[in-house]
Amino acid sequence: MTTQQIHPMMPARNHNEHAQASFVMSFKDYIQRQLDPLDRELTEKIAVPEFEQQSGRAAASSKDVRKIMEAEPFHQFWLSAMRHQQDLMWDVVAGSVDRQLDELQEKARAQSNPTGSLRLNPDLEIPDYLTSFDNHRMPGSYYTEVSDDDDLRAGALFDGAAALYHLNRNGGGMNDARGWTLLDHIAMRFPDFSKPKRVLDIGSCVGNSTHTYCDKWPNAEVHGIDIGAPLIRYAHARSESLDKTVHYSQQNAEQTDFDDGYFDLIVSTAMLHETNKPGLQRIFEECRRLLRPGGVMAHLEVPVRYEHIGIWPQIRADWEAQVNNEPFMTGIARMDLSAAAETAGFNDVAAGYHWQVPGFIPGKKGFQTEGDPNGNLMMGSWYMISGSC
Amino acid sequence: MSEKVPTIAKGAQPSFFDEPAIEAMHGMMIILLEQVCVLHDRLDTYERLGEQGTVATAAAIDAFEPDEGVEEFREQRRQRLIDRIMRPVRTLQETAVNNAQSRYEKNANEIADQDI
Repeated sequence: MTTQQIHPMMPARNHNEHAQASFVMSFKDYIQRQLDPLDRELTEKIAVPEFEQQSGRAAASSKDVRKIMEAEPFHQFWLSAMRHQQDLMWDVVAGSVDRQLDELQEKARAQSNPTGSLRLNPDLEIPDYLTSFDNHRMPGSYYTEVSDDDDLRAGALFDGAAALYHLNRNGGGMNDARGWTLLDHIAMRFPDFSKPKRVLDIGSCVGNSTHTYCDKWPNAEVHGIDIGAPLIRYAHARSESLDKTVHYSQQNAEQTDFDDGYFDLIVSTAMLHETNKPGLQRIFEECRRLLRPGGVMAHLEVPVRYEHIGIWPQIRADWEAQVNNEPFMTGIARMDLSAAAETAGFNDVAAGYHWQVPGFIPGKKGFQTEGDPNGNLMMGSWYMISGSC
Repeated sequence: MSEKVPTIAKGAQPSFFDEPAIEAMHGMMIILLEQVCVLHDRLDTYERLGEQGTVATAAAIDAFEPDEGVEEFREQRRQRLIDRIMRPVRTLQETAVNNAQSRYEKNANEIADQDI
């Protein structure tokens, strides 16, 4: 195989699959470095002045300039290139996963003496905000099963694509930098909070971040919940192959079957933007129910806040919502998350940016509430919302 | 493989161009570009195996582990090719930005001349 496998369950890549994956990253990198600045210049030199000339007022948001931009041939190519790059990523990884799916399922079946557990619920109703469209254009999303045979395809597909999507900046193949960032944030925000007995990761997906909690607190009972059976079957096999003890169950974070006050810490990484406004509120309320007195809730989100970013970064974020099937991205980016946490009964609430650990922007670390002074996206950070009971 | 394997994401299937066929053609072009890059890399592996005196069988090609220098060489070649393919697209942007002044004047004239 051309690429070293980072863990035993990771779909391996043969020569051409590695070349395809390399192209996917090169093309995304090209868009970011070469086409994004041109699209921004077009917005600022053409669309904003034209809107102001037509309307007699300053452009206040991406909505004001959308029509002008969408008529620009270059912007049409930018929107389209972003879309086809994303579709190509899933297509390339799916080809590789499907070539070896039987081997991966066999590898999972052959695991013995698990230390963690897997609890499925075939009757689980998956919320509309996940069934109406396939998030981030992943065909079949998190829950579609392609066989009746302990299917784990969706998990393998997600894990195979995760590092490509992040251009290896989110912890490389383990894709775990968000977990380490969340732990850094919790240590900074809640210095007296230590050694939780029970940790819950909601929307734990394939367990990329979940393992960092196992590493940080080896004696803690770590749970992960997600809505997709093939996703958590894969997560379970992945954890066992890496000697991490995680208890996975197929549950909706809005309403779980855990007892009141069962957990000391509840976390999530980049899952809230894949819900909706009432769903997010119910999730915060469920977190409050599940935490013991003194327990901590901390969620990590994408670093997009419309009150802090200029018009072109808003256009970039709008693409995620409108094209990449992440429609709540622009809603959560305008929502007062602190108010939502306080309404759910949390104290000592704070929201702001935490620089990624390990970081890829030199000199940037720790927590801050203010955005970029030039209205840029806070690339290299994550947006946090946390509070205690 | 099961027929149930999903290949198209449920949700937005937008066409950003005035003519939907351009959207499809653009998608096809990107996949062809990807395949050209794959062939480039495979040929490069073939040549490197040859320099080592190894016969480039399918198994030998799959077993080839590119080092950092090889990866960097291939990455630079990909970036140059993508940049060439995208040159006409970048030209659209340059033309628009260069014509900004005449667009404002045209707009200003239209506003000045409108029927009141």
